[in-house]
Amino acid sequence: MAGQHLDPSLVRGFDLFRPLADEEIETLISRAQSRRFAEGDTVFTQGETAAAFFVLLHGRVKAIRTTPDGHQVVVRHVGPGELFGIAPVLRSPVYPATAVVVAETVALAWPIADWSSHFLKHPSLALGAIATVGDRLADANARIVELSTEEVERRIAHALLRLVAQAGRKTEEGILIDFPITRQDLADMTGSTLATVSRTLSAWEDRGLVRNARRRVVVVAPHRLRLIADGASER
Amino acid sequence: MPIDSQETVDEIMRRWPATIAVFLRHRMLCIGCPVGHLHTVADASHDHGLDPGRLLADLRAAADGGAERG
Repeated sequence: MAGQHLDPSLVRGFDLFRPLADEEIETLISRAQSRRFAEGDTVFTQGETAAAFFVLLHGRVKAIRTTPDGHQVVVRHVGPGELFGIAPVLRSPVYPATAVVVAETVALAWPIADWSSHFLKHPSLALGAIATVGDRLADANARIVELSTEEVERRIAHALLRLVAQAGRKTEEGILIDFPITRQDLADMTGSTLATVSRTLSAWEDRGLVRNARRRVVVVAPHRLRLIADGASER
Repeated sequence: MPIDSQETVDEIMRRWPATIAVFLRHRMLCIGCPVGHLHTVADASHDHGLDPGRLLADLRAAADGGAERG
């Protein structure tokens, strides 16, 4: 597709290109190829040598990473104006994930060899790329916090259900764990801390899942607790 | 004696293993659930948002068609 003329207005509105002058955009996109993908197409595959990096103009792509034991995880969704396939940022010669088209997509592709020269020539583009990476890092950090919180909640829910199985007794209030149990006991059972167990139990009490008293826990909504333990959405 | 809505799900599945299929079919979480020995058919249908009469009828039908274990 060499020689195709791409109009700067294609990218003008995107944050990444906003700081650039028209001539800069012209030079930049004269090096790019416009590529169209149908829903279900694979743009590139995890582990494949990275030959190009992309800016998505229109459509939607998801990045899927496959773990060594065969689990597939959707790492992120890419929308208009976003960079993807930027293996050099990860200091990797290969793509770290597979990009699958979710909705018909048009993207600009640049040869990966142009990566550093673009940034040396257009520092404002480099700033934009750093911002992209920064956003992604912030998302990743938020996800880590979310996953670890979820994980602890699941373990505490499992521990309470095990206690219900062992020592649960039906009462008017709900299922009483008929056995003196402290928050420290629950922390020990779940490899968690007293502070975390206390915070979790208080939050659950507010949501009407349990009722707490000193050394006494009543499970008011066992079914919802079970959903938390299973990692299903509780609300 | 037909299954009663006050019987626990654990007891029902233990006595009439054919009823396990009913819990599966209704996508219920009761199989092997730690709360199963305390929760009755009435509790379980309430928590899963199912019609208790319908669930009871399905359980009775499955129990009638299958073997009973002491």
